[in-house]
Amino acid sequence: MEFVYSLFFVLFTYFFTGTTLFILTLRFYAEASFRKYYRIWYILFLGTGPIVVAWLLENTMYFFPGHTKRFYASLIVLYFVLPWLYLYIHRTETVVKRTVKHYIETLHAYNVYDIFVALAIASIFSPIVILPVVGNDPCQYFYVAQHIFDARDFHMYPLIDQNTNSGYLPWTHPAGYVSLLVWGLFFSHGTEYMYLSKSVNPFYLFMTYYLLYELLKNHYGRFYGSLSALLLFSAPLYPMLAAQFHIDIFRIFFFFAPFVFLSALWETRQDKVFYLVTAALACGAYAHSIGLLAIFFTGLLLLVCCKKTLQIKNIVISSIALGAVLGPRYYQNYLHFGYIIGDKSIVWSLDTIHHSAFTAFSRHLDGTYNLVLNGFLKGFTDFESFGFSFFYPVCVLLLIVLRDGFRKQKLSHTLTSLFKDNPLFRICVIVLGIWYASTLFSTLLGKYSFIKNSRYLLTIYPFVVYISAVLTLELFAHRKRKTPQ
Amino acid sequence: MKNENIRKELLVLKEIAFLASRSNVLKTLFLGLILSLLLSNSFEKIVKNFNSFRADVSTSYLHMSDFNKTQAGTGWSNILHYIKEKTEQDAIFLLFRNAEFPLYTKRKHITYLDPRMVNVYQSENETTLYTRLKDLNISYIYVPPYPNAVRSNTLFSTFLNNPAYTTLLMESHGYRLYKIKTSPDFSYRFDFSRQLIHTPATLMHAYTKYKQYKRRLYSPLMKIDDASAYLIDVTFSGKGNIKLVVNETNASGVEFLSTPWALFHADANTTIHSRILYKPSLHTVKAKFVYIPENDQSEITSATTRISKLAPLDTSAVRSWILQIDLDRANYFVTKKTKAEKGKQYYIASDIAGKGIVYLYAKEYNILGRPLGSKYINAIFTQAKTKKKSFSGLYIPSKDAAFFQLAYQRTEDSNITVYNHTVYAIDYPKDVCYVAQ
Repeated sequence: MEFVYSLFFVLFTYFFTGTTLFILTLRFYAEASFRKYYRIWYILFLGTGPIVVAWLLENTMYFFPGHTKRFYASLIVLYFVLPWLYLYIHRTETVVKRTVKHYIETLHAYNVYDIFVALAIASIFSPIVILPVVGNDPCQYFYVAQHIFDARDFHMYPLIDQNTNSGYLPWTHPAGYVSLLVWGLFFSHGTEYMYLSKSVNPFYLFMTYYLLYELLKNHYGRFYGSLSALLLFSAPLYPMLAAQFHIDIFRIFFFFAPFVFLSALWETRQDKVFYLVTAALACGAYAHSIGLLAIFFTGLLLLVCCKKTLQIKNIVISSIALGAVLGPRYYQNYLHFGYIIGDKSIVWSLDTIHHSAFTAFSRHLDGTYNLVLNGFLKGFTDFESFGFSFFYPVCVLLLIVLRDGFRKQKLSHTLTSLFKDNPLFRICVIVLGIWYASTLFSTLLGKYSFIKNSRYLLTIYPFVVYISAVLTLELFAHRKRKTPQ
Repeated sequence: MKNENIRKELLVLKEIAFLASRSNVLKTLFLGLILSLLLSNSFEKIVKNFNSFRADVSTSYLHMSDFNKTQAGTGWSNILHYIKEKTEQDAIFLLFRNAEFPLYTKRKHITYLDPRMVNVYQSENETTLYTRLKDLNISYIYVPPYPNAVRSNTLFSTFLNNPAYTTLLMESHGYRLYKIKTSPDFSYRFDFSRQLIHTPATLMHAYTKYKQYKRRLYSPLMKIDDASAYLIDVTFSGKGNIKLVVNETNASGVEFLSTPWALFHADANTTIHSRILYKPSLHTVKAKFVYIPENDQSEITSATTRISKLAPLDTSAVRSWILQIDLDRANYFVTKKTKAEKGKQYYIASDIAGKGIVYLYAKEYNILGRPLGSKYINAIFTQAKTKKKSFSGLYIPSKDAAFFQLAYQRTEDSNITVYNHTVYAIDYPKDVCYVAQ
């Protein structure tokens, strides 16, 4: 029976929810100009499905606490059945049929090589059954999830009630990840078996790979796309975090997703895509507080690429959507802590504890030299965590420059054509620029928020991987001048 | 001619590059080579991670709960099993690592970042700290094998290992579980608190005060009785380098040469606290303590010296003590090899100054003198170059250990000096079961 529950969890959470949202979206995005994005959007929606489940579960448990597992599970399932009724009433089945048919047709095109790569990538799910949860942060997240699951009540998030002696974790993050872990526990055989909750990060690792593969395939074909997307595994820390069930793989996917939608917005310049960007930003900010940074980055990028979409109407709609998702949590944070977002502790603030001095020393960040080398340039100096993944695009760029020189082409030829043809490449480069500028700025202000932990730098890792892959394929493969239909 | 050769070579290279760029097989192989180089590091790390947990992945293992799976690959699993089986169900634990404990034991706990702990951290002495912990109904303390700012910069740096207040119940790969005693037990001879605070009658000289001196300062002549050791607590404010020496006198009234003893450095307006063990020479009957400013710029504005008598130490006790270990010259300092006695635990006290992290280990050897490995004892972070911090560790030899050496190790960017390293051997409480893994 547990197997049936697990299978239901996997199919519902990782397939049905995303597919439902995708089909529902197609109802409003049926124009021919959007069709070329469907495959990529479908992957993004598959990733979005679970976080929508998390949001619905949090709110249901908040307003109707203390009910049985079946009560919550039935309600969540119901939420995702209702859109199908809507689609049925509005006779959208032709769109659905056409899309499904298209997918089945493309399935025939997959060969043995694709299946081999898919199986190899699927091995990233093996830690779910082999490795226990042992890392500091994962243990804390899983404990909070168990605690909320036992009480069936989201009022106790964050864990700050000192009278119960059941822990003190004053998080200001929205409850996206915790709620998804709670959802996994609903279908588990007791809270000590956490297989399903552990599947969240490997799933998002798989989705990030799949997303990169689709993005690269569009320009360079399936073979080179799948091969170069493997660069995602070149920083040892990244797959390690998935195997340790850290939140980071989850939040990194949602940090990257809005910019993929943004690349479509840059190409199409249609308000409809702006709403998709907003939805992705809301998911990102609900997944982790760092999603707020994605909102800031997107704002800057919109100023550069699509000023047209920044109309009062769109801004108001976006603000309402973001406020609806994030507002309640940040309001509660303000009531509890006196601030909206932060990683603070009254103990750390004691002068005698010297917390910042300890942090700086223990993380090799004391002094300007260390700040630059181990902080600002961490991606290039921390081989243990990042391998050569940050050096690699620089090396490939040099090779391209050499090749262009060898062919007596203008130095900027390859890069200009890349910038022109590939809006996501443009966005990735700009995001990296803003990230490093923000890092520099915050470091000059004496803050370690961007550089304190190697995991923080992984936020921009998919951007680095995409740039690396594109530059590599510029050397090896022929770029398709037109994006496929 | 030379340029033409280079051009020819370049042309050949160009030809090869051209052919290579036209061959899909070569391109794929090359891309594969790059990928394998880039990915090998990640692959190695993941395999290591898997191997650390289980070499054989059997069906029974796959069906285990997460907690049972932690048995093979973590240091703390044994302690959590011990907690679940041997400790009271409603006991409250103080956690210096808030991770696996709540998840796998679900016991009541207070983390070290809990706002209620602020009051505990601001305790003036270890007894107050003990009382405040008791006020929070804390019975056990769970400590990981790495330093943190809170343990390093509060009285926990010495409290945790002080057998007057705590008992080390279990240790596994450096993780430790201490039990807080139901009432303080001052029966340990080296327990400084008892002699200094709680039983002032044992003080020989309770108070010696100096003010505004730029020259040598002499304490009154102190009678030395049969005690084999005295404890000197020095608190002074001022600036510059101050040397403390002792002038000893024998029964015939002959004064010995002054023995250089300890050097303190203080910046202006800083107060230095230090604790030193003084062991008189065999024929000494009287002693006088002398503070010597290093030069004219040195100045003591106020000084308090408390001298307490330590009872004669156990004959089996280790009485090695080193005035100053300068770790600037080496990253590693090891004491001489000492016999590890059964049923004894070793209390190590020292003062640490400088900036950085210091780890204290015990290197263990079997009866044949072969190394058994290193055992983590404690670690501390210090950030003030001038201010000394009291540091202590409790070492209980492993089952097979016949000899041990104590080792201080600093991390790479630090600048550390260890003063007054002292080791005491004491009997382990008979009613407490200690488990080492």
